Parts: sequence; C-alpha cells; structure tokens
Amino acid sequence: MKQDSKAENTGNLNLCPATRKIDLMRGEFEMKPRRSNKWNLAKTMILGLAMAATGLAGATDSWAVTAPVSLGTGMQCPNDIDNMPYDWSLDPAAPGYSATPGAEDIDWNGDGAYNHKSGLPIDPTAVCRRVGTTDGYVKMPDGSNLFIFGFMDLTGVPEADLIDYKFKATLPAPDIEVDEGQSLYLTITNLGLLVRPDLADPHTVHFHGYAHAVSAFDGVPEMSVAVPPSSNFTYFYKLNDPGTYGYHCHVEPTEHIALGMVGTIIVNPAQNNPAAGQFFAYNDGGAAPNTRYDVAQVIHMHDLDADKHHNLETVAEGRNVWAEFKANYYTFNGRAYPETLLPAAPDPAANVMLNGASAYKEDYIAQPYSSLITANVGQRILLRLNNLTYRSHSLVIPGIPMHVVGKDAKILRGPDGPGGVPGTDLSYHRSALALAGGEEMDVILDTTGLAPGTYFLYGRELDTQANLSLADRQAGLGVDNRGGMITEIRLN
Amino acid sequence: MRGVMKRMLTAAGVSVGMLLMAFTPASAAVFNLTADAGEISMPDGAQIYMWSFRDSAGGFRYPGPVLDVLVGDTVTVNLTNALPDMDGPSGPMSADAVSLLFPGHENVEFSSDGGVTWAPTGPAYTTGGSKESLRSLAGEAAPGQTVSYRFVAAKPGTYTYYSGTYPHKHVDMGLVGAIIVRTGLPNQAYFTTGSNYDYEVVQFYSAVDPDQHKRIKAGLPYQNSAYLPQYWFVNGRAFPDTIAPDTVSYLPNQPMGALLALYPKERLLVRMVTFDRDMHPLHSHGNHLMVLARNGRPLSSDGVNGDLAIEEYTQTMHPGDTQDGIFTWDPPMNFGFDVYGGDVTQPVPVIVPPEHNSVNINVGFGQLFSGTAYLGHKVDLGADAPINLNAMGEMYVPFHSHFEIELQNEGVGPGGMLAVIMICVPGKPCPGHP
Repeated sequence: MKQDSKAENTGNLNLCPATRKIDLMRGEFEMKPRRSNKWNLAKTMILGLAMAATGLAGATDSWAVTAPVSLGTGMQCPNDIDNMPYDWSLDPAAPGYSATPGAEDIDWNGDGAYNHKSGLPIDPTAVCRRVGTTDGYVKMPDGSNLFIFGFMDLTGVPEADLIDYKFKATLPAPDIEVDEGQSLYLTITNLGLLVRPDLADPHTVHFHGYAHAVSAFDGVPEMSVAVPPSSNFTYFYKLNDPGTYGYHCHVEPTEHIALGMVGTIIVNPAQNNPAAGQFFAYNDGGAAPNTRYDVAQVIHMHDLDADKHHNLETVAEGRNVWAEFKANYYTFNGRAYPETLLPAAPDPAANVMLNGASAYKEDYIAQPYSSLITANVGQRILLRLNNLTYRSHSLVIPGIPMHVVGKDAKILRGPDGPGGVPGTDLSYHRSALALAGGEEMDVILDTTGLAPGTYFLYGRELDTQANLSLADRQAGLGVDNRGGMITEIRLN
Repeated sequence: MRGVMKRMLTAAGVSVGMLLMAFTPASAAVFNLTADAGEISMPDGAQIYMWSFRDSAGGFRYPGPVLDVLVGDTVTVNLTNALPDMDGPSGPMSADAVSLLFPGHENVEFSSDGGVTWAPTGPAYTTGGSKESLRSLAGEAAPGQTVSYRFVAAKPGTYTYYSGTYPHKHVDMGLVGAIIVRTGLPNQAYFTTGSNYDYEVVQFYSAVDPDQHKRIKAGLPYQNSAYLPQYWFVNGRAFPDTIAPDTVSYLPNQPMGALLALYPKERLLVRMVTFDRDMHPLHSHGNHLMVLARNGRPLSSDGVNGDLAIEEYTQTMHPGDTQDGIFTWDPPMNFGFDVYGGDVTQPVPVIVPPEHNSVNINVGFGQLFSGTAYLGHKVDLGADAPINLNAMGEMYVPFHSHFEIELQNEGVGPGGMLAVIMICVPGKPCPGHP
C-alpha cells in the first residue's frame, strides 16, 4: 500500500518538488483508499495556482505555510451550492472558475463525489451550519456595556461579506437546531477581534455531550485542532441521539467561556411529526415520561463578572484572578430582566452597526434572544435548560411544577429491558430545580388546569436576581437593582 | 491500580475459592495507616505542604491509600499519628490529634489499647463535655499514638475515609482516602445487573488553598471561612501532571495518575470520590457515564436489577460523594464514517488537516493530536507542531470539572481538575492499561 501511495503522489511531486507536507503524507499513513484521482488532480491544480500566485512555484519551501489563506476558502458542505458560502466562481483564479453562478462544483472531501451543479443536495441528510468567532459588546439594563468574546451565525453569508461580521458576536451563541439522523457539518470561522487586535486567540467548537466523540471533532485544542484568526475548520457530527446539548469554545476555557463563547445545540427526535403538529424532546415511544410539547424555549444561563470583561477590554487581563470569579450580572439567553421579556431581534446578523456599542440595546444585535414564554392553558411547555456557568443555578416557577424528563441529552429512563421494553421512568417533579455548570436538562410544564395569567421563572439563589448598576459599581457601592435571571411565562 | 492496599487475609481457609468469596464466611482485613506530613508538587513548580495518610510501611503520599476489601470482611484499620509538632509564632506547638471516619459503614468500633477493648467510636472534646470544644467526630490518636478502628464492610461499593478531627482543616490538609468493598464476583462492582466491567480506575477530586497550607506549616490557625482554593486535583495531581504515569520520579508523593486508558468497547469502571468542600460537576468528553451507584448504593429498585442506572455526561459530585460509573467508547455503525479507517466506502466526510493536506485550512495542532479523525492512524503534524506526544494514533479527550475556574493552577490554565481519557488502538499497546 505504501508503494501505491508513493506512485500516486508522483504527480504532485512533479509539480511541487520537495514539498514538506506531501513527503509527510507519503509516510506511514495509507492515503490511497480515500483519494481519488480527481481529488489529486484538483489538489494539484490548487497547489499549482497557489504557488504561482505567491511566486513560489518551484521553490523548495512548503506551500502550505506560505500560501495565502483567506476567509473565503473554508466552508465544507456536501450540499454547497449557491446558497452556501463557498463559491469558487467568486475567484477568477480558482480552478473551475466560471462566470455562471452555480458552477462551483468540486470534490470537497476527497471521496470522489462531486456536488450536483443543479443545486440538488448530494446528501439529503447533510445540514450545514457556520458560526463565526469574534468580539463585541452586550448591554445590561443599567446601561453597562460588557466586552465579550462570542460566536455568531454565519450560515448562508456570502464569502465576500464575512468580514462584515467581525465585532458582531452574540450572547449566547446562536442556537443550532438540527434533526436526529442528519449529518451536521459545522464550520467555525475565526474572524478575529476588533477591540483586541493584539490577541490572536484561536477558537474551537466543543459539542458538549456528543456521544462517542472523536478527538478531531471534540474541540479541545491540546488534543485536536484549534482555529486561528482568518481560518476555518469544519466539524462533522452524525446526529444519532436527540436531546439538548451545549457547545462552547474549549480554548483557554476559563476565559473564553466566561467571556461568552457558549451556546445550545438541539437535536430533535425522529419521533417528531411536524405535519401533525406533534413535537417531542425525545423518542419516548409513548412510554413514560411523556416528552411531548407544544411550545419550546431554550433557557441558557450565563453569568458575567464585569471586571473580568473590563480587564479584557482594556488590555488588563493579567489582573483577572479567575479563582475569584464573582458575577455582577446574571442572564437568561444573554439578557437580564426586564429585557428578557423583549422580543427576539428579527435578524441580528442583518443589522448594520452604525453607532457602535450604544446601538446594541435598541437593536439587540448582540443579544437577539428573548426569554418570554407565551402559551395557552393546557399546552405543554418544554424548557431546554442549559447551564454552562461556573456555579449551580436553582430555578423555580411558583405555580407551575417542573417535570424533569431529560438530563444531559438523555431521556430520564433506566436501561431498556429485554426485547426493548422501555426502562424505568426516572423523571421527577420539582418546585426548585438545581443544575450545575455543564448540565443540560429538559423540563415539561403541563399547564392543564392552571389559571391564565403571568407566572415567573427565576433564579432562586436570589443574588442572581440582582444587577449591580454601572454607577453603583464605579462608586464602590453594593446597591443592586432588581433584574438578572427572571422571565415570565404568560398563559392565555 | 497503584496505591491500593490489598486486604491481608488473616482468617484460615479464605483462599479457597476466591470466586465464591461473596458466599464465604466473613474474614478479616487489616490495614496499618500513618497520618504524616509531606509535600506535593504542582505543575508550576510550587510545593504544597500537606497532611495525609500513608501505608505505615511506605512513604508519604497524597491522597491516602485505597483500602481494598471484600464484602463481609471485618475491616481493622490501625492508625498511627505521626503528624509533626510545629514551631508556632509563639513557641512550640504540639501536633494535632487525628482520627478516622468511615461514612457509609455502620457500628464502627474504636480501640486505644491495641485491640484489647472495643467501644463505639465517638466524639472528642477539648474541654470536658463542652459542646463548643468539639474537636473530633471519632475516637482519636494523640500525637505518637496508635489506635484502631474496625467495622464490617457490609455492602459492596466505593467509600471514603477521612480524619474526623477538625475535619474542616484536616480534610483540606489532605487526610483523606478511599475504600473499595468488592462483591467477590470477578469484575462485578455490585450485585446488580449492568455493574460488570472490564477494569477499573479510582478518581479522587480535591482542591487546596495554598495560603492555608502555608499557615498550618507556620503554626498559624486555619482560617476556615477564608478558604479560597487555587489548585484543583484529580488523584492529588493538577493537570497536566494528571496524565503522567502512576509513579514518576518528579512526583514522588503523588503516585496516582489520572490517565484513563481503554480500548474501544471496553467497560471502564470509574470509581469517583470527592473530598473537598465544594461541589464539582465532572464532565466526561467522549461519551456519557452510565452511573451505577452513588455513595456505595446501587441504583436499583430491588437490589438485583440495575434498573435505575442513568446516563449522564456531567456528574455533580457533592462534598463527600462517591459514585461509580461505566465509561465506554464505541461509535455505532451509523456514525457517518468508519472511525477505524478500515472501510474505504465510509471516509471522514470533511477535510481534517494535516491528514488531508489542504491550502484551505490553516489550524493549530495540539500536542496530543494524532493528525487524523481515524483511530489508529497517525500523521506528522509538521514543523508547526514539533512536539507531538501522540504515539500511535490513539485519541485523547478530557474528563474535567465544568466549573471552569477549576481548570487553573494558581491562575494559569490549562490545569487543575482535568483527567484525560485515552482511547487506545485495537491490537496495539496501551500504556497505562492494565
């Protein structure tokens, strides 16, 4: 097999003598089974063009190090046609260039299969998402602007426009909602930082809770890859297990998570029947616990220690003593009460920031997610609780018992018995529900028989209902304003 | 498992039929522990003054030994107090008394006369019966003294032991250890279904506030309410020392590594034990843990079926908790690609550098990365990553506290309470695998 690999690489070597990485590829790794001649041809063309463009053709140094890597080359999606970011046709120097939109088809993953020019997906189970990483600001009800690191949704953004999304991080990161059975191609694009251009922090996505993860797609930089500014990486996940998951950057996690690089992944179960209006948290098969719901709401908890954010903003992060982390602001879905009740921003990524940070509060560019829950009496509400903070949070809803049906992306049920007999129902009811950092839970609120009205969902530690105002903080006062982890459930 | 003290069998005839041990008459297990002082090393070079239990015939170690017994055993622990006297700020100070608590076990008896007379273990007060002077929750060994405890290990499981004297101070100083009570059935943690395993590891979770340890060494009072930990441990080590082998020369007093090595499909029993005063949410990358038991009691409705077992990827370990879980890594057939790289019709669907060389992707590589998404393949990471600790294409994922401030060594990360799971390559060696 090694002999074959050498022979196969000869074509490359003709064009590109003594390139380091090709020498490496010719080593112990058996590359041929996953390489088609088409792939090598395409790669050779890319290689030659890249070298020509950089004046390095024939040089003995590695092209991979010196070739320019732009933002416009990174999204991998088997259904990548016009509505997806990668488009060779934008680049006249690229192989396969055509002035005709849609003529972008290329074998991206080296499996010998090309995308359909027609735009029809080659893999109907494939779903492609793209998240960018950058910085930005969030606004608290007292007017404080807090510097954040974060993600934002770049799915469908044309390559040429990517750079416009720098400095538009959101808190929390965009929800990624996908279906069981799909193949998720999740691209991370590191846009760099606007406020801290001196920092070249790489970022990753850790799919928090993904079962049987391989290191390459686990997002832990010490054990896999990390993505520096102006680069991309595409993670692949086959979605076999429905549930509520987290995701976050795992680079310098103490800092990057606290600064806001946290989000939620929802995998809907195959049992869903949208045509019939039937939605479930899990494939419960009709056995207890019943996970059916009418209305779903993500409640993503995030705590902000204003000084930590301020120190990052002002090139003083050396002052951050993380062991002394103490939040001043507590949020549901990136907002503190009463702004938790405001509607979702219609399209945060589409807003253009004209007035800098001061525009955020009005537009919710950086905090697009509402936490207001509205339902009719008798409906079942699913709360997808996601705590990626550095403490436990206890939540209560006076007047509505919480039925906990899932935890850590598993239905609360014991192991199945012989013949697939559903396991013991391990769900439970709570008036107060605690979950620690790193835990996700699925909670059903059955509103049958409840009086119409407004109910409150809030943080029971009570200090999490406080916002220390900017003025009070600067004055060294400890006067708190009511806010933080509070939202409403309005039953009609 | 390094550091496990095997039971010393003193009853005749016990060696007959180890497989039937669960059904044999009760036997006796005797351990000799010594409370002593020593130092442990941090990855940043800091030395932390500790108190801990050691095998009376062995050297200082942290955490204390794992006492390995069979269900039904009468367990006797002889405790010698070798804690040092101190040079306090106002002159010499006598060492603390020390004692042992055995949570989860009943009718613990105490003897201070070499086992001649026994009485229920009980509290000790500094000033007569003054409640305010409560010093110990168990019978004590005075400085230099040897005392004994005994109890029947009635139920299989994972348990802690720790000092009951000034526990807020002694537990923080490191006077802690664990007990494994075995069923006697081979590779069966409990008498419940689903508690079988291929092999096992113990994970201790703890933390220290180095300032308090300096105060103790200097003979100053322990400031209970000023406790602010700066180092967090798995098995008494902070990452990256956690992935060093069990016994390495530069960690002479921390003999337990925390590299969880397993092959695909194996059932690794993780016995989790937590010591310090804070709750830690332990998050396993790579897969959920199938939790079998908490605090030495199986998750079972009838003691036979493991019907209440639950899969979690974040385990909330509250102070004093123990928990047993099975970790397995076994990607299903329908995984989108063949993780072993053997099925050419199921390749990794995306470009993963450096394996799939590409001008389009420029990323940084971790030192433990194999260079591919396939298990058992290995690609040189190139000049940008000259140090590569990946040996043969194995995979690494962490198992760590998700209170991420605990992933620091006095403010510098990555570090702290982070163990590492190593997925080994079938058919190839697996360092650290028993």
